[in-house]
Amino acid sequence: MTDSIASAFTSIWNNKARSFLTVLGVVIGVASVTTLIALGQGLRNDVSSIVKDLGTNMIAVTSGKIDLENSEHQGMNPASMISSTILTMQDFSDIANNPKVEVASPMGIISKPVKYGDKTATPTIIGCYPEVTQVLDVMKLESGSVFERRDSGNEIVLNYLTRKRLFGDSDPVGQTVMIGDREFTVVGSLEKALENGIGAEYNNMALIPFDTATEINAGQIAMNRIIAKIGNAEEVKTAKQEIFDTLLVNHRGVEEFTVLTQDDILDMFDSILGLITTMVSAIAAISLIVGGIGIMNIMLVTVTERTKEIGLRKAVGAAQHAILSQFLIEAIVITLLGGLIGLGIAVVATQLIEARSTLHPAVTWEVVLTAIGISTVIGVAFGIWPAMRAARKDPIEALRYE
Amino acid sequence: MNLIELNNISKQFKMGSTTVNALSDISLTIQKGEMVAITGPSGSGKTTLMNIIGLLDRPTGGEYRLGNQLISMDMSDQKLARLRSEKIGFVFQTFNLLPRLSALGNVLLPTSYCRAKRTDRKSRAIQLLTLVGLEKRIQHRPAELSGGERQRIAIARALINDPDIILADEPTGNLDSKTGREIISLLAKLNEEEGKTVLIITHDDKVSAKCQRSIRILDGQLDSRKLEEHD
Ligand SMILES: Nc1ncnc2c1ncn2[C@@H]1O[C@H](COP(=O)(O)OP(=O)(O)O)[C@@H](O)[C@H]1O
Ligand SMILES: [Mg+2]
Repeated sequence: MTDSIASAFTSIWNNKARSFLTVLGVVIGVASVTTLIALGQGLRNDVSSIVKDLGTNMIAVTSGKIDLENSEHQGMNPASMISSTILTMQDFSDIANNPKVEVASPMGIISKPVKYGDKTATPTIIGCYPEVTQVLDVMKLESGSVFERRDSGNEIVLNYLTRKRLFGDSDPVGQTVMIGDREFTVVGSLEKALENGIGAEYNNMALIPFDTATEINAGQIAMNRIIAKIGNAEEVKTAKQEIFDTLLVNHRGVEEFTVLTQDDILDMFDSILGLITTMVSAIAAISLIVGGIGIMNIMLVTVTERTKEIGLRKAVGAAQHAILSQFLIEAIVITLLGGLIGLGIAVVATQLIEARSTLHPAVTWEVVLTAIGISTVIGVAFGIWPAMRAARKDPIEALRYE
Repeated sequence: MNLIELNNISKQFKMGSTTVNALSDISLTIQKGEMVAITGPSGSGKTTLMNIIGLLDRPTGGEYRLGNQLISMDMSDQKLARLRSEKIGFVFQTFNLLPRLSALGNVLLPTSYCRAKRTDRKSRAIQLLTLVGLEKRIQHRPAELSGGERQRIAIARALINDPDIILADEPTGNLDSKTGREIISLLAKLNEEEGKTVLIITHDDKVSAKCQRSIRILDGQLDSRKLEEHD
């Protein structure tokens, strides 16, 4: 065994250029597969920490139907999801009155710039109740306070980026900002939330009282979402079902809304990620198969070139299985080296991605083992046939080969 | 004691519709410790005979006993390989050294396939290289050595697993006559001092004269007219 490995290294070293070119397909295949898995892992870590940081025992109701169970019709209707006219005040008060619900808030989105002097910011303005900060843990006060009631009038809370853009590092509390021609008094500002890539949008928001948002919206209630915090973690699932049943009655049996728990959001993300991973892996598999065929080809050449050696080894006592394992090990050593080079490239690539984007690819043990596993399997799968040809050679003819 | 016993051995090669009778009806015995020359014109069947004795090939008819073991026709590849590794050392006309390996590596090669793993295999290899006079060439590659030196490595390799029999197929065929004589002397020394049974295929009368006995083969048959005994 150790003899075989040593002899594999010698033979690879003696054909450096050829071995390198041969293994290129495996290198590229493993590098791309592992980079993608690392990206997926990183994305999943990000999303799960964002979803967890949002709050605990949270339930969100959105307009539009997201089908989580039925995979055939899986997907969402973007138009209905951003609709602000489906959810009603009745829906909200039913949810708020559910005994399992601790606090709840509606959320309505307004798209208007916020101005301070000659500075302009374009945050997502959310009309909401003050309870929103109790549901969403990410929203932590840095200074001032949240407006006290839903009808507190023209008061505004600035999230980190909005504050930064309009006021730099100075405290905005007590200052006046403009939305359209309305004056708003800044009553509080929020801490920077979630450094992570996709979580960053929470920094680019501003909160105003829900009723004020309705006024800006010409008296029309705008409710894109209802968020609620359940008092007891054990009750999240049953609360979800109760809320769903109540809303289904309110909407006369039409399922034009979705009730989501944090787990649902993660599951949804996982299924999307899984689909993307499968598709990308299928493409990477082609490069691995091409790489494997290259390995097989070069192993067949090697076996022919070393016919005389095979004859000699048999003459000095090598049985078929010894020759078989020698060439199989050689193929595996080549693909494993390729896999390790590919893994190295993937590590460098993920570090570049980390440095130049907001993504955080994670090279976990799972990723490393996948790389090693794939290259070993390629080595065995494409090395076995050449190795069998070597093992079956007739020693006399092999010794006579020139 | 009969080390090798052949009874009515025959070997046919089928090439398409024609059949070549490479060996027919060969019966002979070789005692342990003998040094025997096998002579005969080119194409007479010497190598075929040696391949059968060396368990690289199976006869198509007859009976072969090696030691007290009957070599049956349906012996498995693994069994034959093991017997080769334990009982037989080959020396070839073309040396057949692995160019990538040093002299030492070449001598050690058969130990990878030997069941009894010796812990002292490296020191034994060095000892054998010393025995064949190559103690100063241990790390050299075959390409850096002369033909005679290469054949000495091959002889050390044949001895590494301590076989009963050394089979040498025209071992001097690629050497000048002086070097050839040295190689034959070395084989004779192994025969005398180590008690190895040595079979040498040769064209050269001077070589066969060094052996205790000659077996001559003509057209795949023993040439009964000229069964010589030397000294
Ligand atoms: N593998 C083979 N297939 C067909 N014929 C063979 C084969 N090996 C040897 N022969 C034939 O058998 C005869 C004996 O060959 P060989 O034993 O090599 O002779 P020698 O070693 O005495 O020169 C020759 O006629 C040769 O052509
Ligand atoms: Mg011959």
